[in-house]
Amino acid sequence: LPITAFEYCMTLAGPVGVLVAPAAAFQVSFMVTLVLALLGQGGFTVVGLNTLVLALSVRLAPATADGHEMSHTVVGLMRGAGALVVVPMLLLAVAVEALLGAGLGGFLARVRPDLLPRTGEGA
Amino acid sequence: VINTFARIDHLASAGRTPWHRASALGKLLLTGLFVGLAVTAGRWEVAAGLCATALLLCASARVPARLTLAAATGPVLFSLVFVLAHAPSGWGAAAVLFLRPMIASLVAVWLVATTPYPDLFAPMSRVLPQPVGDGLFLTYRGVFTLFARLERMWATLVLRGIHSRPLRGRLPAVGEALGTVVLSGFDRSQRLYQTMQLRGHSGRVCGCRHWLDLGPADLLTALVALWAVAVVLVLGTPGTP
Repeated sequence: LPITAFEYCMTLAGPVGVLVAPAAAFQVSFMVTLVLALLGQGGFTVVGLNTLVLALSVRLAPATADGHEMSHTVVGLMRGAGALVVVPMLLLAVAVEALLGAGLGGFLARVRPDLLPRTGEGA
Repeated sequence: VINTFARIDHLASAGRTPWHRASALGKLLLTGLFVGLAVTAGRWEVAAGLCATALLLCASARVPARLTLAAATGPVLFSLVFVLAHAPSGWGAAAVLFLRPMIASLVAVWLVATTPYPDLFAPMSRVLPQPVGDGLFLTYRGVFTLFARLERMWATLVLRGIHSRPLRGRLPAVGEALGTVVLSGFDRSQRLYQTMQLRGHSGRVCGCRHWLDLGPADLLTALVALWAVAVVLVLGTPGTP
């Protein structure tokens, strides 16, 4: 979508994670990545890697919807990875995705709240 | 991007070149061969030879020049980052890093522009888990409908002056508009599922068997495969021009 002067390719990993539940994260990510690779958007040899990266975002999304789960997830990541390296471009992308996701989530909460998980059913 | 996807889908179904008559299995194998050869290509001559062959494949399949150009230049930015990170010694090594993804991208566009998606996904669904294989088939079917809806939604937003809003207010507005597309997709998938149930869906989407129909056009696929191997053998041998 042409958000500013640039066209931004959204992953919508957050909303997808909340809507389809974590169990389907890897299936959905694989299908998206493979279809994109077949259309020349992404590489054949990195379908697996792209799936893992995208699926991780989708898998973590329900956790971020629940504060308690989120704190556990972040602590786990910090312990496992040792350090969290965040580059400015990534932060910008996260901000854009977060604002889009907030708009989308707000709309669904008003129009079809039954599609969203209730509090405590996030992960 | 939306128009590009739609054009590729139209080309795959309406094309009349020998590549469109060749079997999907042969084309998938040829694509795999090209990707494999591109990954293992160590000399720029080999990569250039394979890239030229991939360009010829696209031209002979009557893939529009703009589409071919988009496929060829699409990975350039990512290749540049890779080249800068690796700092290869000599322009030859840098050229190989640029040409590898270009070959894969061109061959991928050739494949999808000459193969209708049911034929493309049918052999894949034989090796993938059932929910993933069926999901691929149904997802690709619904993608174009959602693309058309997305395009109409964006035109509406522009007409309502989305660009005049500050960025902080613009993004949630776009998100809300995307919500309508999500709801549409959700409702559509539910209707599709109910229709399939009514028609006696057995739990497995059976793809057509055209992908196995070998014909004279497959000789052409085999010839190109032999040519690609010859390019690697001749140009990949040190000492040859």
